[in-house]
Amino acid sequence: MALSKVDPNFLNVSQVGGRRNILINGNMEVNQRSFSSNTGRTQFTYAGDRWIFAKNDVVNYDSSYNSFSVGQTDVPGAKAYHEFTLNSAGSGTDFVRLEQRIEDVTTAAGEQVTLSFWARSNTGSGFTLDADGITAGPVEIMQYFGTGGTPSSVVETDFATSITLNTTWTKYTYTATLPSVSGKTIGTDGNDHLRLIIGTMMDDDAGNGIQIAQVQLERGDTATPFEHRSYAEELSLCQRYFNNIVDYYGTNVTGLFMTAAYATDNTYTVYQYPVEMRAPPTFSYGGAYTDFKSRHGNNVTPSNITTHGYGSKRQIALGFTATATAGSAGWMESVSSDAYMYLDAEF
Amino acid sequence: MESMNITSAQYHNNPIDGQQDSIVATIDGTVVSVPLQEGNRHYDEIMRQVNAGELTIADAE
Repeated sequence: MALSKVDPNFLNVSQVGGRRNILINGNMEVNQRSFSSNTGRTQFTYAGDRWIFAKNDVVNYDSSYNSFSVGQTDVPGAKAYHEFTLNSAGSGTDFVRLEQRIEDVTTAAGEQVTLSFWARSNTGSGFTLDADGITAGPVEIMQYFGTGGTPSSVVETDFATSITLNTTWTKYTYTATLPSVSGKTIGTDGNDHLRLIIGTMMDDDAGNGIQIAQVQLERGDTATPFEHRSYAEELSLCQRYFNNIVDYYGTNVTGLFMTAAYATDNTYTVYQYPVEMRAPPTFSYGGAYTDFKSRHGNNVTPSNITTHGYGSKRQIALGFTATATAGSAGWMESVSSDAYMYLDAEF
Repeated sequence: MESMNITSAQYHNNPIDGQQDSIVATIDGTVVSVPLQEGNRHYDEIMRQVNAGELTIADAE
C-alpha cells in the first residue's frame, strides 16, 4: 500500500498507545528487596521497586507491601499495594509519604501531566490527606535539580491540596502543568529528578493509614486506562536502579558466577549488569558469609566479600576471601534463602 | 539528599593496584561498598557529612 494511503489519524495514538506511564513499577509487582513491612520505621526506606517511604525525623509509622488476592476486582489488574499507618500524631510539620523519583528533571517540563492512582483509607472511616507540612500539598511533584555546582532550587507543583479518602478502593485523578525548566541550572552530580509524592501530615489522627495501588503519571490532560506492562519488561526497567544478583531456588545451591583465584586466599569475578545502571551502584550483601560458598576444588565459606575495582554503570568486580589454589577457576554459590547481593543506584 | 545514619566509613584499596576504589561504610546498620562516584546517593551523602564535619573517613588498612 502506498504511504499516501496511510491515514495519519491512525498514527496519532500517543494517549492510548504504549509507553504512557512515566512511572516504573506503577503496578507495584516488582519487589526485588522482598520488602514486606516495617514497624515504627525511623528512616526513609525503599520498598517495592522504585517506591520509597519517606518521613521526617520524629515520625513513627508502620509501612507494608501487600499482595492483592488472586482474582480480586476492586482494582482491576492490580497485583500489589503499598500501605502506611500513622502510629502517633506529630506536629504540624511532621510527615510521611510514598514517593517515586523519576530520572531527569526535564521530564514533561512545561507540559500538562495527569496522575491517576487507586487508594483507600485502611480504617473504618474516611481519612483526609492534608498538606504534609514540608511540601505544599499531599499529592504533588517536586522538580529537583540535583546537587553539585549551583543547581536551581526545588520547584513544587500541586495536584491536590486535600484529598478525602473513601473506605473502599477508589480511583483518583488529577491534572497539573509542570513549570518549564528554561533558565534553570541542573546540578553536576547526575542526580536530578522529578519526585512524585503522595503523603500526609502527621497531625492527622493516629491509627489512620492509606493503601495505594496502580499509580500512573502520563503526559496530557486525560487519565487513560492503566498501562499494563509485562513483569519482564517492568523488572528490566527497575534494574536500572536496583538489582538483586541472588535468586535462590529452594534447597538447592544456586551458582552465582564463575570465579578465578589470583592467590591462595582470594578469588574474584566480574559481574555484568543486566542493564546499564543509572549511576555506579552501591554494593551490599547478606545475610551472612555462611549463606555463600566458594568452590575451587573445595567448598568453603568466604570470610569477606568486597568490591574490587572502580565504580561503573555496566559491571562490578567482586572479591572473595576464601582458600583456593592460585590460578584455579571455580564458582561462588548461594546456599540459603537469606542470601542476597544488592546493587543500588537509586536516588 | 536524605538523612542517613552513617556510623563508620573507611576507604578500601583495590588489591590489584593498591589504589583507593571505594568506601566501606555502615549505613542504617548495613555494611555497604560505595563507589567513589558523584551521583551515587550514598557517596553524595558521605561527602556531605564529611564536608559538614559530621563524619570522618578512615584510611584504608
